[in-house]
Amino acid sequence: MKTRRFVNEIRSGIYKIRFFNAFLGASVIFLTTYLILMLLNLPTLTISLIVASLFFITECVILSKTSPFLAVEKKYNILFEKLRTVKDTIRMDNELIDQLRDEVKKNVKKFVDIGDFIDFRKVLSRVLFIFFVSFLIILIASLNIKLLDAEDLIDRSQGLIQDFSAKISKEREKLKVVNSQNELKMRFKKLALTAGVGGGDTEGGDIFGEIEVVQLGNEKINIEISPTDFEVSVDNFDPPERRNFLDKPYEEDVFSDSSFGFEENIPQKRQEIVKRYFKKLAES
Amino acid sequence: MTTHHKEMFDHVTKELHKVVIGQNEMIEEVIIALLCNGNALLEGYPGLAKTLTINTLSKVIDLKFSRIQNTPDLMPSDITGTYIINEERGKRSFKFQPGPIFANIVLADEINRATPKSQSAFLEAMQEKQVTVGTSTFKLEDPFFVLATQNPIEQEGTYPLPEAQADRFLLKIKMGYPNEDEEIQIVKQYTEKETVVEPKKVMDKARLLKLQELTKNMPIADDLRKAAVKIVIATRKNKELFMFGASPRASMALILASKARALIKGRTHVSGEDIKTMALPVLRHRVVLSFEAERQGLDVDAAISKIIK
Repeated sequence: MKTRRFVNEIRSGIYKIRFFNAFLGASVIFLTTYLILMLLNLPTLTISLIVASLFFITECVILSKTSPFLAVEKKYNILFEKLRTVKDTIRMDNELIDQLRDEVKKNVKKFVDIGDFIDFRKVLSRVLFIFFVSFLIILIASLNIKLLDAEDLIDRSQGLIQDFSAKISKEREKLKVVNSQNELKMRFKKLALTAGVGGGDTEGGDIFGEIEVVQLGNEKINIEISPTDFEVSVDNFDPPERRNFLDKPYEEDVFSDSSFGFEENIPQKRQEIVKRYFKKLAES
Repeated sequence: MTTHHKEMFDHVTKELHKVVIGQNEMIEEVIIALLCNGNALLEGYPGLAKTLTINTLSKVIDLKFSRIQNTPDLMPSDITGTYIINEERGKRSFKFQPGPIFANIVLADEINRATPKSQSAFLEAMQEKQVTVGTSTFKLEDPFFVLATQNPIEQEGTYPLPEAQADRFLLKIKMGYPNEDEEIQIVKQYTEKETVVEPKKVMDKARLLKLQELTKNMPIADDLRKAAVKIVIATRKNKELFMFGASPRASMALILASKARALIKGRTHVSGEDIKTMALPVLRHRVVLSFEAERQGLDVDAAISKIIK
């Protein structure tokens, strides 16, 4: 029982350190991705979380496949091949195994220090990096700094692709029309041949008249089918012009030359007449 | 505790080295085969102290030793024993006379000289640890260890062991010539009467049986067990190097041999180094090289080493 506990302690100790390192690594990835996405004006939280989670899961899967006992044996040569033998023979009991267990326990107590498995330099550098990037994120968010508007770029490129595909479909339509016209031409020629009349080849024409007349060709009728009903294409627009604001709110040639003031000059008699009129109105 | 085991094996090796000069790898692998309660096939040129090693080992561990020199006219009953007529108090009866196989350590010299029928008598004893004579079955005493030898030269008039039967040997140990210093020491020791030393008894049967039990208890990590099995499976899958690969018996042998090596080295766990070292003696007699590998001039050990990498 004691051996089982001792083996489990080593196993859990190593796994805890590994998961802590994986978590630190995932935090670094998360913050770095967040920063980059912020600078590119892209959605930050979801993508960063996904990337960091993927990294964490991958690290955990890789670490779980490597035996923790091998890691201890690699660090301490005195335990080489002995520790995993103890782990693998945990259910067995005989004098040799007992002796091996005592020897391994003694050596583990004497030499193994769980701190030896923590790379303090790496942990410190990661923690400092996390602090630094966090501070950068706060600063950039407050100043609203952007290196590149990637969202706008993506929208524009989508627009260009749509334009291009519209042009291609336009050309395809044109081609379809031309092909159908050519097909009709061929059909009429065949008909004319089977009817025993020339396709314009016999003298004096035929009862159907000139084939070219009934053929829809570019010479006689020009049909151009526009893909849209509008003359103006809303997809075509120029980028907005950058205008500079004027320093003064009004034009320079607008100025005040002189100022005048006016005052009412209504005679007193006329004022009295108006007063009496409104008084009578009020009394009535 | 492990230190004590290591010390004990060091004593065994030290006593062996009093008589056998050099051949460290061979001695270690023979002890490993003994600890695994398996059998070993020793391939080496004549005069390399094969018999001497096994004879000395039996003295050091206080085990009953017997030697069987295989010849084409050797009969199975010469190995297992037979019923003889026994007359006692005027009454005659059949009595089983055990053969030389009824020992703890049996040296089967030049096993490839014996006929297939005689070879099968050995193989039953090796696999089942018992001997069948007529309708009776006789259990062999524990521990039971067969060290069979083969001469890599002189293939005329031999009956090479089929792969299916060679598979029953835990290890195939290759012996080489001693180096110059070792040979000088050998010459000095065996040409001067004063320097001949008698080895001391270091271990007994009961202790050896306990060590065999302890070998099985040696703990091994799951990923190392997996690695051992992967090496064996690779011999089956790699068709560029091997026409036929090793069976699951090889996987068991490799893990058991690695455990034994860990115990000899004084450890309380199996290491990757044990598996890599034991892969060669465990696999070399269980695989057949492909034509492509032979064309490239690779030998079995080189091909196995490529897989281990």
